Amino acid sequence: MIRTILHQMWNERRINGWLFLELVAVSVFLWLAIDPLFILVSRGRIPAGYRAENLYKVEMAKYQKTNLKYRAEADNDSVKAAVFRNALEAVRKIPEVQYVGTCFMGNYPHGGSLSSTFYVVDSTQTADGKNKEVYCVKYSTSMAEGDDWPATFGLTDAQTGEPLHIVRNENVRNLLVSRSFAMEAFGRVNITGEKVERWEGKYNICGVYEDVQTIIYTNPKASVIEIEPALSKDFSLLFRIKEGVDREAFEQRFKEEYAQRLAGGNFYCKGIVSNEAERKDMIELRGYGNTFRLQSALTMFALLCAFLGVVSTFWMRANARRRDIGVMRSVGASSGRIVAQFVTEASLLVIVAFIVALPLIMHKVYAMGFADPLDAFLSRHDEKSDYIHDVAWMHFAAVSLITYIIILLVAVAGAAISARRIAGILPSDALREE
Amino acid sequence: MIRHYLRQAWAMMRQNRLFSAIYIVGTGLSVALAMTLFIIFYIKLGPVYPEYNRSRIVYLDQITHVIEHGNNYTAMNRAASQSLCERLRTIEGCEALAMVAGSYRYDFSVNELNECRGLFVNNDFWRVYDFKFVAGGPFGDTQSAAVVVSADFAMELFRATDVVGKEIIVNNTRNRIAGVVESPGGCTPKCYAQFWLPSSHTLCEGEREAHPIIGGFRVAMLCRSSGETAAVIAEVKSTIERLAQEQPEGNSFEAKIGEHWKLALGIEEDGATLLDALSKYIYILLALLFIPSLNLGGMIASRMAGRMDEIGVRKAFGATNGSVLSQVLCENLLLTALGALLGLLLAYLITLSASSWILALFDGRVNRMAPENVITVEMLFNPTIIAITMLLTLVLNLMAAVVPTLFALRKSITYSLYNKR
Repeated sequence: MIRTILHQMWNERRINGWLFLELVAVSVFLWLAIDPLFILVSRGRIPAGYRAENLYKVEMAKYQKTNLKYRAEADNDSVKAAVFRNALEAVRKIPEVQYVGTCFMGNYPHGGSLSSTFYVVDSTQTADGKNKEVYCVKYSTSMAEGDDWPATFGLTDAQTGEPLHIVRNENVRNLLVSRSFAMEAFGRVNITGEKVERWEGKYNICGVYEDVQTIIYTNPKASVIEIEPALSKDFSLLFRIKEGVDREAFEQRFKEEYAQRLAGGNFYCKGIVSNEAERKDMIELRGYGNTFRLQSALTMFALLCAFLGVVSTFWMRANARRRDIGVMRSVGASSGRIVAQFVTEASLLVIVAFIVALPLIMHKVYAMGFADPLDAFLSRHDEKSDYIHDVAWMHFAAVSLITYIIILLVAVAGAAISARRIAGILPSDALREE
Repeated sequence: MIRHYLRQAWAMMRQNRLFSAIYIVGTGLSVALAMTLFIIFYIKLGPVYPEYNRSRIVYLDQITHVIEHGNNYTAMNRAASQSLCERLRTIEGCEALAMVAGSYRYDFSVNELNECRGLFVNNDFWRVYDFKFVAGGPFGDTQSAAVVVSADFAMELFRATDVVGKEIIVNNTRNRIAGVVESPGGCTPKCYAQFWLPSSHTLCEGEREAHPIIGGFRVAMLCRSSGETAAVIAEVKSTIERLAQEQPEGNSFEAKIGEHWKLALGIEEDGATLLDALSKYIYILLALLFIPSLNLGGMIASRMAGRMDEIGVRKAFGATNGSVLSQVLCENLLLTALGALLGLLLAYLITLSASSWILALFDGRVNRMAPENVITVEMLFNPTIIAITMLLTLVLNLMAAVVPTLFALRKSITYSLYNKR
């Protein structure tokens, strides 16, 4: 059968040539459109390292000096501190709230701001004899007012996999570190009680948590949580609600009832925003949502073009071969056999077109690299990982496979639709019309 | 003759309905995406209300005071921008100079509303931007207690647009409405606001006004013609250099100056041209045209194979290759034009239904605080968009039909006539 099909394809090479060229162009175009989508989807599957569900941030805002509600006598640090303490206490008293945490401004996973620093590890030396320095993302919290950042985020202990166990030393500054930090600094994770140093002094490591993703779509990297002795002047308030609470009803209740309890001085509560919503917002803000839409539109366009190309070519060929098909049917060929012949022809065209397209794609990747849908800052600072999008050959193979399967399915569907129409014809009709 | 070809094309179109449908859909798909691309860039770069003078405007969008071994301060306060503007106004080719402060991120309290968007502008603002006044007119430079509001904002506040003479309280201060303008949309963020106050208004002074430069002012200069923008930019740069030389040692200025298109596309390189900036989109456009044209070319090649006898007869009666080619092009033009019309309607549908995000489709970052885009009829139905659609139709028709027809015409008359037997 294959020989007959190849013979048939060669005889109709002029018409097939157009479809072949289109399939080569579509393969290249589709590969380039799918590549950024693949990267974003693959990066979207990187575990956050904390429990994002049921996690909320309280949004506080301040009346500007020119606002009707502004009061000059309340515009000082002591009133501000009192208002924020009151807000923390008010949130803790909400019956649906399980944990409350504080952090410095938006400096928490997917919070929108990023602080980096480095610590010196006295006990580990580099090859040139210097103390090892570990660069990392820094989060801050106080845990001085009954607030518990690690529990609020649901961090897990890197040694046990259970909720994070903290062994604080009240005589020195305490520091929680992530698994990557521990491995880079000491080469192991059981480092509770070890010391690291920064310009403020020594820090006691009071726990090791599993890595958390700081910014959406980036690989988790070394991070630390500094436990400040007192609440920062510019802290943000986060909280986790209990399991089983109806989130929609809670959000409505917060807006109508709880938000007013948090107001004071020149501050008012604008509402709450879930961590999941912040992640989605970040996707839009950094343009990833638009990249997704654009590349999806281009992918759909290429597939529709391929589909129309296959349908029109095979439909015309099927019409031109009505007599052949009539003869085949009269000597006992089933309609399935005719459909199979057309589908095989389409599949062979796709295979050859894709083989021709691959060197072109490889040349593009070699010369210009893979797509880079992350913004320039993140691209520069993101570290390589073992994830599929960071291993070149796996990345290339995965995108090629996805592209090939999609084109094949579209071509097979297009050929089958055209063939089924003609395969149902009665042999007598086909031969009489000729 | 063309009429005859078109009548024949119409008859063939009705005869081969599936062929015609696939052809029209294929063309429509290509034109829809290509035109969506064009519409996005037309709205971002073309003359749209109230930024009809985009090609003639030069922006001094941001100026940074760089202090050696110290902090850098970005943006200008009123005093700094006024003193700079006095120098810039004398530049040859500058027709008007608008000072604009407060951005669309700025929140005001107006009457009982907390978050409204306002701008502080000088009198030249109304010359640089072509606002249509539905009532009243612009305020003068000296009128510090006047305000111009947009029609939508007037409706929100008073349920009417004829509100000249009424008062609104902006940030605790009473302002008399001097004029009401047709509402601009978020597609023109440089001048978008719900209300505009005179730049002499004291409320725009920020907390950090003490610093010699910090503030929220930017400058928009209207040049006499678009050809003069390069010269004006060069002159602005040299003016800022002279200003820097007057500062104490270790102080300098870095300015972000450019035409509208440069700032809209985020281009910072000095020598970059519009073509350089748009080159990556041109590749997308070529792909949008090339792939469907291969598809359509294949379909025409199939049809030409079935019409070899007709071509043979026509050539036997003296028709030249040129006349047969023009016949095929004419016939296909009907299908391509119908596809293009479908595509243009689809492009309008895509643009309108995705108006909230589609203009930022090619932007690296999306501004969370950006005002809502309003796509108007004027932006979609204008001569430029129609002309581009017609051009695309012709290009697509040529790309799809010429090669397969020429291939068919290479055959001899006898081969063509024998082919039917």
